[in-house]
Amino acid sequence: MHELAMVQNMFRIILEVADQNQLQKITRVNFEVGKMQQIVPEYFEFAFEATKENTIASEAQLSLSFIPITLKCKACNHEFTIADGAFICPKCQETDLELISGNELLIKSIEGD
Amino acid sequence: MRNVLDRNQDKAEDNRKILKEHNVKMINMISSPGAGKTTLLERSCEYLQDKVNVGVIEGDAYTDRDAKRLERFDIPIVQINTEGSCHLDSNSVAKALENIDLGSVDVLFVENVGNLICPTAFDLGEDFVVAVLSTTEGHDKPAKYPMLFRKAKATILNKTDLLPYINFDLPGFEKDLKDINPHMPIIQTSATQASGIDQWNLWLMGELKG
Repeated sequence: MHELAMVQNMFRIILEVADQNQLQKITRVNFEVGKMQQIVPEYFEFAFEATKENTIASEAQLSLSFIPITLKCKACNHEFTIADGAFICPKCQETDLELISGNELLIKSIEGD
Repeated sequence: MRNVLDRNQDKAEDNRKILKEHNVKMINMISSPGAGKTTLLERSCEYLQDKVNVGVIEGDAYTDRDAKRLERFDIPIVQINTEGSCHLDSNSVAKALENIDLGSVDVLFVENVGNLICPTAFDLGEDFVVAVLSTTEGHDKPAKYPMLFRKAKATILNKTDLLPYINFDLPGFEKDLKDINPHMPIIQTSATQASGIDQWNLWLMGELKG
């Protein structure tokens, strides 16, 4: 249910950015979500549809793209992506890893006129 | 390009700074509803009361029942009612911090709203997160909710007194946790039976010194 809080924050930002850029209408929001965030796309889309009503984004499309969990091994520098496997380097079995991607909650861009 | 939770993150950093200025360690306790966070806090208050000054921020969707259970300890308690929201955020914690005399607190527990997903996404400005899982929820929870167990500095497995009566796969649970967060300590407790409480608090005291 944190999807709704995220969408509400998203609208605060996109309406502010639209205002700064003198947009009359927002037609598309390009949003990137990392797989670590456990966002349910259906809930997110539903929250988006509900929140956009009566705003300049009322006809906007939401484009959600999911970013995989990518890790970098601090021992051998190997970079790898995991779906739901272990947080362990497949090459050298090291467990000290740096998260390269997967935590994103990013408004990449908005489109409008 | 903007992070959708940028405002929460900024406020969390403000909280972190305020807590640091006052030498307060804040611990964000996250679990499902009914895992035993409040009982664990009661036991922790008993253990810690003559050692450090404890404060509590109680997050609850509607009631103040948990805060009432802690009233017998002479400690600052601030209740946050989220009005149905499934998580605390840094702004509500910032307001709670204004109502606590931080000079008289060494360790501040935040009992988050019971939920394994949503609270994990919202940094409150804590020093670290502790995950609490009860045996009756099943051994598969770390694998299903990796974000929390990846973020947590320790996991407490509570209600271990029930292990003989349920089909909880303890080795499987430990293996899954090791895959997600290899060096994280797992502390077994039964808060109602007061077992494992020393171990949990000794670990905690070690972290507070660090």
